[in-house]
Amino acid sequence: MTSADERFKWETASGETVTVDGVSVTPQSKALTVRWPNGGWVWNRPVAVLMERGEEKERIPIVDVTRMGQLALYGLSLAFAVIGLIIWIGERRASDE
Amino acid sequence: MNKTFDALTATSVENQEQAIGLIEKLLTVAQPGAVFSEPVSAGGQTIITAAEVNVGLGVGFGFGGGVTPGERPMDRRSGKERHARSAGPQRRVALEGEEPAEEATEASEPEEVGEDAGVGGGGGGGGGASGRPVAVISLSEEGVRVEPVVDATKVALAFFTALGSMFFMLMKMRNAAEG
Repeated sequence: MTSADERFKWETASGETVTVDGVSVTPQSKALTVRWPNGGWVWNRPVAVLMERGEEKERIPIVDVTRMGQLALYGLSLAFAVIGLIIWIGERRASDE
Repeated sequence: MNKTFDALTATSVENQEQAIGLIEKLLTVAQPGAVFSEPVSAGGQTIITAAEVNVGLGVGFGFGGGVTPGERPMDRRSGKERHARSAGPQRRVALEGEEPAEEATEASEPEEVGEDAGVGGGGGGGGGASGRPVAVISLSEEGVRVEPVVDATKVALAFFTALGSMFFMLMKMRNAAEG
């Protein structure tokens, strides 16, 4: 029997550091793991790169532009639908009165 | 029949172990190595690609066996009684406060096994995987750059879906206002 922690995992992991011309880069990814007795599902995506050059350290996030664009467009259409529905209900109430 | 059953069980256990091994391999997808490529150097630049990975799978097994209930050649019992006898162990146990019936005594006799016997089993599985490039990490003397990879097709599909739903909603609202 697996525990809930083993069934659901949402964790960030760091990959191998790559050093080129004195610049070290460590990639980071975030994985969601869902397991059940006879199967499982894993969603893994890159989240950031840790850059290190001498004393300088920086965390550069990796932005998924495609996903952001999709979410923005779907959100816009949802907002439009909700606003439209509110206006329509308001007009209907006004005409009934 | 026992040999067949043992062989089936052994095969089933082997297959299940293979399936469990496959599920364990699924966890390697959760490692950063599955998302980031090996660095490739060319023209004074080192490139690492980053991708989103989605993997899911499931398996299932089942097997069983059975024999037809046997009949004595000179069985004089009625059909109803024979049916009650083959109904299972619950018929052999007398309820609390009930006198053990004659039937219960009869039921304790070992049942004869018919000639028809069989075992069977089966299993199946399914899964899917997808990957999509998200960004390219470029390392050079100038520094580190993260350049996003835009999937124009997906964005365009989302745009037209949004446009379609807006248009549909607008038409509905207009019709409702006119009506």
